[in-house]
Amino acid sequence: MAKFARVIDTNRCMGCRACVAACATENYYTPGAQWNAMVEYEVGTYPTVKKVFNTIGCMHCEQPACKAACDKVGAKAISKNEFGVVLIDYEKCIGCGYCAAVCPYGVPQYNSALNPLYPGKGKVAYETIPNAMRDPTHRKKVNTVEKCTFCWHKLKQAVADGKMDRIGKDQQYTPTCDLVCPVQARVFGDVDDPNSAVSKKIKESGAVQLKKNFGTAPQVYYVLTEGAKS
Amino acid sequence: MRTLTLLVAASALAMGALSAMAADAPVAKSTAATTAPKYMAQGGRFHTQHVKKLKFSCDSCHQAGVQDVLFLRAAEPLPAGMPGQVDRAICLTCHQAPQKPTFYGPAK
Repeated sequence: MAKFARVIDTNRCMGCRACVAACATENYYTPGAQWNAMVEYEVGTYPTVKKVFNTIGCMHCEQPACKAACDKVGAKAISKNEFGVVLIDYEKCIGCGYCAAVCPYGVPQYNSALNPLYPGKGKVAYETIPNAMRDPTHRKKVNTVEKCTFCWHKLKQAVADGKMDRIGKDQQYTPTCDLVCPVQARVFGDVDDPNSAVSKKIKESGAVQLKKNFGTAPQVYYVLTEGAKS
Repeated sequence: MRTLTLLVAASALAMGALSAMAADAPVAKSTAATTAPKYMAQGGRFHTQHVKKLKFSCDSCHQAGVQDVLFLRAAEPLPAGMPGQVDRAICLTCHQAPQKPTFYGPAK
C-alpha cells in the first residue's frame, strides 16, 4: 500500500508563490480559507540576514490531532484513508473549530462565508462550476472547516486508473502545487517505496518534520535552511 | 468580573477582525488569509468545555491575558493590528498521550 508524502526544500524555495496560486485555482479557493499559504520570515542578525520561505499546507499526520478532536466532539467528519490522506467531510462538519484549535500547524481553515474572489466584479471561471459537477472535496460549504487534501481528487483518479506509478510525475495524477514549482523545491510521492523520488529526497537531504514534540508524525517533510523554525 | 473581562475581550476581537477586514488594512508579510476569524467563539463548544465545565481561567490558555487569541499557521507572523497567538503547546499539558482525551502522540 502506498503512503503519500511531500518534501519541501526551503533552500530551493524562492517564495514565488506559484504553488499558492496553483492550489487556489485547482481547489476552488474562497477568500479566508486558504489551503496552501506562503509564510515568510527573516532569520539571522544584521548584516547576515536572509529570508525563509515556508509553504504550509496540511501535513496529513500519521496521528492527526484534528481527527482526534473531531472524533471526541462526535462529529467524526475527519478521516484518514488507506493512503494516509486526511480528509474533511463537509456534510458531517459541524463547524465547531476544534480541529483548527488543536492542529499544531494551524492548517484547518474555518470558512465563515463563501465570498467571491472579486466581489462585485463577477465570477471567475471556477466559481461558475456548480457543486454537483465538483469533486466532493471542492463542494465548499459555509460554516465548515476545510484544508489541503493532497489533491485527493487527482490521487484517487490515479488509483482508479491503475496509474499509481505516475503520481508525482504526470500532471493529472500529481498535486498541482508540486507540479508548478519552477525550482523543483517540492517532491511528492509514495514514501513506502524506497526508490521513489520522495523517499530518496528525504534520505539524501535529511528532511525533517516540523513540531515533532506534538507527536503527530506529519507526512510533509522540510529541508530547512539554516536558522529556519522547526 | 470574568464576564466583564470576556465581554471586553469579545469587543476587542470584533474590532480587530473588522479592522483586518477593511480594504486598506495593513497586510502582513504572508499570503496566509488573515481576514477569517481565527479564534474560538466565546460561546462555542471549546469555551463551554474549558471555561464553563472545567472552570479554566482565561490565563490558563491565553498566556498574555486576553491578547493571545489567534490560531495561526506555523511560523505565520501576526497580522498588523491583530492580537497575539495562543501557543498550542499549552494543549500538550492535558492532551498528550497517555492523558485522555488524547489529541497528540508521544513527543518524538
